[in-house]
Amino acid sequence: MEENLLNQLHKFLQEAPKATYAGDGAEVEPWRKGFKELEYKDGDWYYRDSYTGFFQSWGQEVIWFKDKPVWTALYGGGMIEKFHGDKDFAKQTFTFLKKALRQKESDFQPRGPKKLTEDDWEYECEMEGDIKSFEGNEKILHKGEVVFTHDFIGGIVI
Amino acid sequence: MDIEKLSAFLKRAKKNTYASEVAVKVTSQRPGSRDYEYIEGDLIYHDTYFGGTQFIGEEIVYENGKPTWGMNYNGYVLDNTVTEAEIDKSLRGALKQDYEDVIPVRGPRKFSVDNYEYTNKVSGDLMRFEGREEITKDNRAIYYALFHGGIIK
Repeated sequence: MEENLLNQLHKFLQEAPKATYAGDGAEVEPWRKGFKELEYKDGDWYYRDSYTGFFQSWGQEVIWFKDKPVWTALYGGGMIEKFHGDKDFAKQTFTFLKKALRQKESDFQPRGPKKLTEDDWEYECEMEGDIKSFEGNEKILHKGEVVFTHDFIGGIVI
Repeated sequence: MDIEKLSAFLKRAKKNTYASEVAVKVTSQRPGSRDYEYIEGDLIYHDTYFGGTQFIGEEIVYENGKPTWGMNYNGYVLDNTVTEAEIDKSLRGALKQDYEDVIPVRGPRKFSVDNYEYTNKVSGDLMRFEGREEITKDNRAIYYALFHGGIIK
C-alpha cells in the first residue's frame, strides 16, 4: 500500500471505531446472517464491523477503499466462562471495554490503550506489530480478577 | 451444541470447502470477499475471507440458522517467490488430512510433502482455542497463520 493511502487509513482508523461500537453507534441491517453490524463512511473510505455472540463472540472490522477491501482486524473471546449467564455483569464489563476502546494514546491502536484503571475496573492490552500486520490480546479485571479476555489479529489485505 | 456433533461436522465441512480443489465458491456476502458454504441438515458452515498472499477470514457454523461456533484466521505468505501451487500443495494438503491428534480446526500437528513441512500448534479446545500454523520449505519459513475461535453464546 502506498504511503499516502496508508496515512489516510491511519486517519480513518482514528475516526471509524469511535463512531461505531465504542461510541455506541447505531446498528445497521447486517450483510451476514445472525451478525450485529455497524458502519462508518468518509469519502472513498468505508468501515464495517460485524460480530456475533454476547458472552463469547467473534467479530471482524473491515475497511474498504473504493469498494476494495484493504484492511481488517479480527477479534474474539469474551467473558470468562463462570460469568456466562450473568447478563448485567457482562453489560458492565462491555461498558468499561467501550470506554477503553475510546481512549487513544498512540498513532496506531486497534483496540484500547496499554492500561486503563477506573474504580474496580482494569483494562490491559498487549500488542505486537503495526497497521500492516499485528496481533495481541486484551483483558479486563474486576476487583483484581480476570473477567474478560479477547484475542485480536489483523492488518493489510493483499 | 454437542461438541462431538460439532467436531464431526467441522471435519466434513472443512474438507469440502477451501481444502478441496473441487469446492465451488458461493455468492459473496461482502464486497470483495470469497465465500464457501457447506450444508448438512440443520447445520451450515460458512467461510468468508479477503486477500490472497495476506489473507484474513472468518468461519461460522450455524445450527438451525443461529451462529453457534466461529473462528478467525489471518495468514501470511512470507516469500514472494512462493507460488500458489506450492501453497496449495502444502497447505491444502495439510488441511485435507484425517487426524485425531489435535482439534479439527486446521490441519494435523505435522504434515510433510516433498520438501515442505506443515506444523500446527493449538491450545484450548473447540469451546475456545487459539493457535498458529507454519509451513517451511527446505527448513525455511514460507508461510504462517494465526487463528482463534470457539463457541458463540
